[in-house]
Amino acid sequence: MIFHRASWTVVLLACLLLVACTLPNGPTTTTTQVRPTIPPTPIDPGILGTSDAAELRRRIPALAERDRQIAATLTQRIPILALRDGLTSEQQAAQELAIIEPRFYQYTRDSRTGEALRSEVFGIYPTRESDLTPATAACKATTCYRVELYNYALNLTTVAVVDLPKRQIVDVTYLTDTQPDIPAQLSALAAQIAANAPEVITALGNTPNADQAVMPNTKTSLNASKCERSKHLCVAPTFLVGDRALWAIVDLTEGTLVGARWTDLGAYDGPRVTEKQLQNDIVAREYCEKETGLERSGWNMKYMLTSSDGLRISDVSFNGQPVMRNAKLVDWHVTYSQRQGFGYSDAIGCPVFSQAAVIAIGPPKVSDLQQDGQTVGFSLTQSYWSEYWPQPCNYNYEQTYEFYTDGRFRIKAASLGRGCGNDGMYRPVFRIALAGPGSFAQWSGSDWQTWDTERWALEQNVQTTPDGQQFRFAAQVGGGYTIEPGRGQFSDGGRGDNAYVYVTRHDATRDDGEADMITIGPCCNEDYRQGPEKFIAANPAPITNTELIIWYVPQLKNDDTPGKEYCWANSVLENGVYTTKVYPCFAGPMFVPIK
Amino acid sequence: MPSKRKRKPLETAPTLPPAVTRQAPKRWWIWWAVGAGLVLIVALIVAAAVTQRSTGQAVVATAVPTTRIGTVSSCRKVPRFATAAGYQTVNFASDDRAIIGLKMLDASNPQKVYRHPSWSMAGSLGPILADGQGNVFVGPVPRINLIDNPPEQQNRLYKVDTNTGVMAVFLDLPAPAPSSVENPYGILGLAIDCETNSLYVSSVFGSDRTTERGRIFQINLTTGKVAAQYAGTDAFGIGVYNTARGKRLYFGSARTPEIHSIALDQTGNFVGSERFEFRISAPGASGDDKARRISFSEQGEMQINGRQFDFNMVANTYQPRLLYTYRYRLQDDGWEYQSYQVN
Repeated sequence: MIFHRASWTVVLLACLLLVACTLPNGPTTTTTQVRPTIPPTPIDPGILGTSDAAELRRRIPALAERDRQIAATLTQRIPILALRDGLTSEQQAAQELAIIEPRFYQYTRDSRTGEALRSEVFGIYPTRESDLTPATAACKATTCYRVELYNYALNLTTVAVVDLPKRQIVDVTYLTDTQPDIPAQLSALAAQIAANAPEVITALGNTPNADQAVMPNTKTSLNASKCERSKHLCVAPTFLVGDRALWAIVDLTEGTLVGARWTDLGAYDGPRVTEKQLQNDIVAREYCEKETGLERSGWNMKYMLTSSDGLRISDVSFNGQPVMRNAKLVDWHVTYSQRQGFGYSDAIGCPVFSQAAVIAIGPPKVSDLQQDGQTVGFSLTQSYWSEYWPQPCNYNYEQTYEFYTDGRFRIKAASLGRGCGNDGMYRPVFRIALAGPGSFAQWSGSDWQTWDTERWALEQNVQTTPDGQQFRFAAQVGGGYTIEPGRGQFSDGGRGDNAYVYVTRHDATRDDGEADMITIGPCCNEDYRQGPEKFIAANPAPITNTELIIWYVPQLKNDDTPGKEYCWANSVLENGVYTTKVYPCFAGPMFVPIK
Repeated sequence: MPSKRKRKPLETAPTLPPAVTRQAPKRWWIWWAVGAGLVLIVALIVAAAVTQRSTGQAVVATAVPTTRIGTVSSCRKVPRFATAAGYQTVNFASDDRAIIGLKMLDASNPQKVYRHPSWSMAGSLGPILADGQGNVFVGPVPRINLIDNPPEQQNRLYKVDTNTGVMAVFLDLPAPAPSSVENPYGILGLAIDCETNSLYVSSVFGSDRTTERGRIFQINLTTGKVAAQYAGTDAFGIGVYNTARGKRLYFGSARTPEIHSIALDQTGNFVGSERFEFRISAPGASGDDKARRISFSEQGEMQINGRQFDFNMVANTYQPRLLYTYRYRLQDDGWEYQSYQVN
């Protein structure tokens, strides 16, 4: 018995130990249940369309012919592109009756200017039981047709119900933000655009036949979403290859490819691929998660999109000589003069998982800089926008770095409106960290006066050299740059910066903005207090021959006066659809090498 | 990417045996029975733990069966300070673009607006919920920028005291990781279960693009402490409902347009495995709306306030209010789409 008891004591202790091992750590009053991990599915983010619309029209004669039809329709008294192919006589009659009905063509012209809006009949169908309403109940006993008109400019569907025997319009209804099913010839055109787009050809590895596309009349997502950002009519011809499908999103308003993405047929049960999803995923994957190298015209650098500081360039060199450690655009401060304290501090950056209020929806673009027909360098540009721009209280910004073959470079940005009013003042906050130690000076009118300690200055209070320079960075190792603020001389529409310029000492032991910065300052300070001043101590640090950070804060007053628009955007009609005309207010300094 | 798979703690700790006392030799069989019982219990526990480790699934448990199908939030009261101040129909709002923080309105008298000086202490606010005493709980949600909402403070739950109207930090919720530049958000949703006197808080604090680290907290309103957590999910709007098969907490994913749920036991603790309920979709809807708020009506409807949400600071200045309605389906414990309204 003693043996038994001893054994069971051991068993009991072992049991208690096991029980203890399976109990949670920490306070026993809280239990934590952990959701089973779902392994992330690696999704190919796809590719955004960059095809030249003109090139597509050369490849697809039907697309060019359609442009001509649309242009001709816009000159008609009733600017409606009628449905033509394969109509029965009854359908033809119903369409003719509908088109001359004032309620049917009521919204085919701009209400202010009377200009024609692009409208097209998409379908003519015999009414079904389910179509009937009290207003069209008479159609139960007679032959009625439903004529569907799509207005590209207003994204509006107009439906007329026609009593054919009586040759009467029974009812007309309007469905906002709604797109009817597209006709067969538009489906075929969408398939042709997809099949001829270089991005699709590259993705498939061969040139597909347009007939291979399936679901060409499937809208990319349910009615209101469509191409969510452009608000265009989009469809998604899809090419099946094995157990995968290539979705090609085609913009039928413009006749271009928006982009393409592979999906797995079996596992894919998510929402359809849309313009917004494609743009967000590609920009995030390609430009927010990794740096991209760029080597061109003697310049070498890396760039990537940040969470809240725009497009950041780093390790910039020219002909092998270091130029900049990095540069970025920290904030946009927007204040409105007629409303005290009203405005916003907007961060710009990645489209998802970011602190950006105005987001990048497309990749950065590298373009040649032309002057007098000659290529004199290149630019690196990133655009940012609010989802509902150019509606009021939505914003659009552009950030550009220009690099010239002679070693000059310019860091600039613009607001493209439209904001919350015509009394807005925009103040972008640039942070520029030049490479290596050096000293900073301002032009006194006769010579360069060195800034001994951290400080700021307003450009209008600083003298300008005959060739437009106001500041100078002299590198300790020799060379450096003079700084030429914008005064309207750069031929990009800019009217002058009148910037606050701050110079602070780079201190690797403190967070002085080298990493992504949260909002640096409030919207609405009207003076030098734009944020960088917080890095200037009460006893400003000496900055002679040290690593420096230059903060550059231009001040840009918007204007909506016709003919003088600045930092502004207007909707204008172009080929029967609304597009946005922008009036950018570019600002930013040119850095000129010291010879 | 670090694995999120962790060992699930036991939902109920086994009862420890009483202290062993000397027994008469003739009762040795009792020891055999006690020992065998213990071995059985331990074997079950170990088996459960091993199963969980190997499959990553939570132990299947049954939610507390309920006899009354319906809502569980009817105990919410108007704050006493509001009643004392003569407010009739009290509404709280946190979405005024011109005002940072909370404001109280009287729906019966639009001119009557009240703000306590402490109500701006948390910056911009998001979810608001009153409890059975009239205390009002609010969570900070940054709007446009982070000046008034430092990312590291977005996991603080605030309480407006029912008697005094003073706002103060109620709980600084535990975070699985520091805030990151990729995610300025923390608390996103609040829900109450009057039957268990539990406040539920959803938070996405510490999550980033690649790792879902959000948590749903059960807070015991009697003790004011976190009683349980459901970890590894980024939930947006949340709500508790008594279904025919037990109490469930429904939550909208902050990452996808989906509604999920998890069963709750009689104390409001999380039990069982998470269940996918449905994808938020409707004719005319974007197909990408996340469930910002979830509420239930006495008519058995789940009402979802949807909005676009991509873990950024984009303002929804012109986004209309999107209201999805689903009806509870008794036969299979599911939900059926009813309507979609744009206001």
